[in-house]
Amino acid sequence: MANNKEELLKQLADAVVDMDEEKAVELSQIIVAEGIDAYEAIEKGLSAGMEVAGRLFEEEEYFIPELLMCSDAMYAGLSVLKPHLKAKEGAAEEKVKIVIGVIEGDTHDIGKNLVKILLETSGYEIIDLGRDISPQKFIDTAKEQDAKIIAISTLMTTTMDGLAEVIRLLQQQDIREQFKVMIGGAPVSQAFADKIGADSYAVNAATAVRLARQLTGGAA
Amino acid sequence: MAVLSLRDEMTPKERLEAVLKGRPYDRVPCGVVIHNQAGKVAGIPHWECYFSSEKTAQTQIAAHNILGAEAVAAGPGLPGIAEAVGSIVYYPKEENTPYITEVAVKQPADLDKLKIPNPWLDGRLPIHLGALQILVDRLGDSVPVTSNVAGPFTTAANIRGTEAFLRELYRNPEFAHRLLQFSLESTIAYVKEAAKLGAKVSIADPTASPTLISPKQFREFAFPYLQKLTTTIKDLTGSAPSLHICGNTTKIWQDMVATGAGILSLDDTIDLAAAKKAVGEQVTLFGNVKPTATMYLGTPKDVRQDAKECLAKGYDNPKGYILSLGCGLPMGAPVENIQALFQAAREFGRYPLRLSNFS
Repeated sequence: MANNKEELLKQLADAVVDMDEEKAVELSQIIVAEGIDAYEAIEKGLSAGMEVAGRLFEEEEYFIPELLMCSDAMYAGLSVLKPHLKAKEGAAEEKVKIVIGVIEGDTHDIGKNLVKILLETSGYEIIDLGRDISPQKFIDTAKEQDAKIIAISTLMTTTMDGLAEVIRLLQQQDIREQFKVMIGGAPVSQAFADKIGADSYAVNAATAVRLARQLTGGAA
Repeated sequence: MAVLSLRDEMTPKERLEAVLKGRPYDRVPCGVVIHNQAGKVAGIPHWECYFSSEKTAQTQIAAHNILGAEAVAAGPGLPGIAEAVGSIVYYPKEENTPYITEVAVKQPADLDKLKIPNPWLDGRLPIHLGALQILVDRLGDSVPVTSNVAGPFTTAANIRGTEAFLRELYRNPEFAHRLLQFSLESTIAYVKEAAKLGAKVSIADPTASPTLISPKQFREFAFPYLQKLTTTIKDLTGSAPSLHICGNTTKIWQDMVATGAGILSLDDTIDLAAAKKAVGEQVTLFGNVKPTATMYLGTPKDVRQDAKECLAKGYDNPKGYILSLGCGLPMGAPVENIQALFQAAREFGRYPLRLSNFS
């Protein structure tokens, strides 16, 4: 069966890369029926496929429609596998939490949604606040959830200062050291990140995953 | 050493025509369009302009008279056509940009209920047309009056919701094409009226950017409709429109030229020298001073430097060059930076353009 298992997981990964939602569902059902561990199927099938999709996006083979279709296939497979996740024995490994959102005054959230998908498939727990979110709300949520990273995006110059405001508030409240702040979006840059004192700037969704790993010492 | 005369000898309209026709001119044109900062000098909050032809026109007249803008503009911009067919736009009463809060087509079937807008009745199209009318009357003899519209791909995304629309390129291409055709016809309905008033038209199609969709999908979904729009604009106004697409457009320059656009407006990620080499024989180049790093966050000194770098790359473009920004002027950009850009055009861009003037 081992061979068959590896083969099924590879096909599941391929279904995600090929944007084939039906196939992802069908394979996930077969995997469940075969008694293959759902966690392993998510990790070595769905997440592995999404990782390839992210790489293709970075190489400009894939673009946003393709990534959206891949993530649809992934989530469809996930909804089949999730009910079969066995509770981990002993101390469950806590996932690192990331609070993500689009800053106040901005409703462009495609980029943020892609970052969220790729971070989720890389094993982070994502608290997605949505769009048009006040600086203080990012901080309150990060404190409540004991998140490690606050990830903020904007597509507009008019709302860029909101990113700086999050960092100013963290400093004012004397909790800047508790969180890593990651920023992204068309008008912002590494220079802007340095200027406002953000921990990192991600030029795109795939880079965001790499940087998140760096910021959390490789832990996801 | 002779003191250089920095007085203009041509009207902005004469200058632009000369550049586009390859004739001598007094100095390089500076194509930045000013809204928010002009509202400030005119004492009109920019959110009041959204609902008033008079205030829009007054602001644009101030942009020209007080800040020295060499083109004035009023138009539906990115959300206007979508709004006229039923999408809901929110207008913040602060220094921020309007955005769509609700789309007209929530289910594909909703498209069948929509009608091509009447530009004199629907959405804010009558306000733009009214403003254009005033601007043509007041400044039309000496200043180019333009109306900015979104490309059909961007309008379709604003009618359907960008994410849903991008998925439909795969899931339901037939519907995507119907929506694009509807977006095109709705845009043309407006353009016809703007052209009758004597306005020129510029197109921006940010959602069709290679940052979002592949060149292959651009060719399949964005190009045919852009080409039709461009051809129609040329027929109606007598001028090939300018076309702006954000992001790294290198892979679609040839397609942008093939739409029939007369001017390519390029983002600041683009090397103008590379664009000149690739398409400079066919189109005028427009750009690409950095809107954020230079205009918004920089100083007048940075503006002069950036302008010089752009001039050094674009000045000898075979089809002409217009100094401008890589994308829209940020609302928060200081007025002294805008003035520094006009000053740079006068100081470094005297005709005949010489590399020694800006290196």
